[in-house]
Amino acid sequence: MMIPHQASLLLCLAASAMFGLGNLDDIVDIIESDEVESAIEVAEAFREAGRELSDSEEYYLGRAVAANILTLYSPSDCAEFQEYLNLVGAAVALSSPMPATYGGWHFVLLDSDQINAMACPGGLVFICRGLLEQVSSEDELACILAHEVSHVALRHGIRSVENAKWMDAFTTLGTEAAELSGSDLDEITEGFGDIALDITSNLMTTGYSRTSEREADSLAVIIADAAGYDAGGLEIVLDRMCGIEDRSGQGFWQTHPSPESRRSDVEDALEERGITESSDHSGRDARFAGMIAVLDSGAGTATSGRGTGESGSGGSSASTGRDGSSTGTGRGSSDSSTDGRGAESSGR
Amino acid sequence: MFHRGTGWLCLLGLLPLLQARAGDDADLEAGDQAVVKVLDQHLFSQPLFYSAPVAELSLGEVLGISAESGDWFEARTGAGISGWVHSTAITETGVDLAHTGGGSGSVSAEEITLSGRGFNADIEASYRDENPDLDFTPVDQMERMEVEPGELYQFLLDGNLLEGEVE
Repeated sequence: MMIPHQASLLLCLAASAMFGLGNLDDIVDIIESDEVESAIEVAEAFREAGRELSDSEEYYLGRAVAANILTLYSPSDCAEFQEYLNLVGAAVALSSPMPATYGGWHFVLLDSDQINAMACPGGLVFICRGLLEQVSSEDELACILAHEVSHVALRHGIRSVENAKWMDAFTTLGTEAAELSGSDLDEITEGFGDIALDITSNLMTTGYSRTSEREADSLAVIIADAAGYDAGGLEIVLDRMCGIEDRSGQGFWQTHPSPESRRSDVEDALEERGITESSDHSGRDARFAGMIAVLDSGAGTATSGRGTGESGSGGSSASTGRDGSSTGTGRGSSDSSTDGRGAESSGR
Repeated sequence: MFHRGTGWLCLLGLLPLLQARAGDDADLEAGDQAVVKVLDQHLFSQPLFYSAPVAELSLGEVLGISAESGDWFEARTGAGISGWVHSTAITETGVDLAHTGGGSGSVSAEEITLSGRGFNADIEASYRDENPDLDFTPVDQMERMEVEPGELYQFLLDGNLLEGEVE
């Protein structure tokens, strides 16, 4: 149902206040009207329960969601790439509307051929190796991480939970005394688990709404640009994904709108905000190539065999992305780390 | 010093966005006291996440506010160390840690965080007991992957994402 624009802005601000998001200003025009209604509904559940959802609660929910995700996937054991991923992620997240989260931002590469990335409430972000295969530069990687960071900042995971589940959980939590025990603890634990599973299911199977994805893309463009990256990288990745014919797999194809429609939206967002290509990124391209080489060289030992057979892609992972349809940015050779940072990977 | 790229040329326009979740978190001014509301955070030498840390802050630590610059506050710790902290990492003091809801008042997010109530470590422990198939070890490992400010600074500099130098 559409609502008049001005009314939607007021509702958005009201919802934002209820969520503790503050004055959203520029975000107001990112959040679309039907999403505002959904935000209002959840915010109403919080209001009726006489409480807000705190950053610490978001953190614990995010940890539970992450634990559920990690029953299906294994992290890559390439410590050097994980460190690099966290540096790119930090560069992006610290330019977002919520640079400081209760438990901090943390990023992990998963050894899975799936083309997918997932963000848990609170700031735990995963990217699958299958999606990384579609990336040809650090700027593109930064844009993908910015999209995931945007989902967290806009609280899409929290907003995707059924209203009734918040009410069930908060009925007990809202009158909670200092310590819980017995049936109260059991009841709250059940509510906590239901919400965590709901968010996990929305991340893994159902996906967010088309409008949520568009919001995340719009904010990702702003965040990547603010971090100094070329925000057009998002358009390049989507363009590359448009060339994939087999869309039968799990993950991205189930949980996201088509890359064609997203590319068009991103193009509009870039144009609307007058974002042009960033400064010289040859250094970033070189270190990205170096990190990919490090990752590929250790790919054969990356998996631990845990989970559902979503094993590592190994040395024969699909290369239709970077290698097959790269836009040719002249990444040059990929021999080792290029700037000496690789030596810093120990001690983590 | 400024970032390169169009993003920072448009910084003024983006500030409201970047403040989005900060605005109501820290409605503070010089002379006020603030409380740290995140688990791990640094007090920085400059209002930049990649400047040199001067102190480590912990959840619940009280800071004295002496100045404001954009999304950042200059603050002094109980030990007398001064530096800068981002507004999303702190909140006002005066939150009622005994407030559990009910009556006419609403429990704020900060009250829940700082009192350790709501969905917390105890609830997670209970959830883990009921779901022994879930392994939180890789989640804990993930959280141990942290980026130090100096490391980030060098990374940004090497990647041509910054211009100039931070002291």
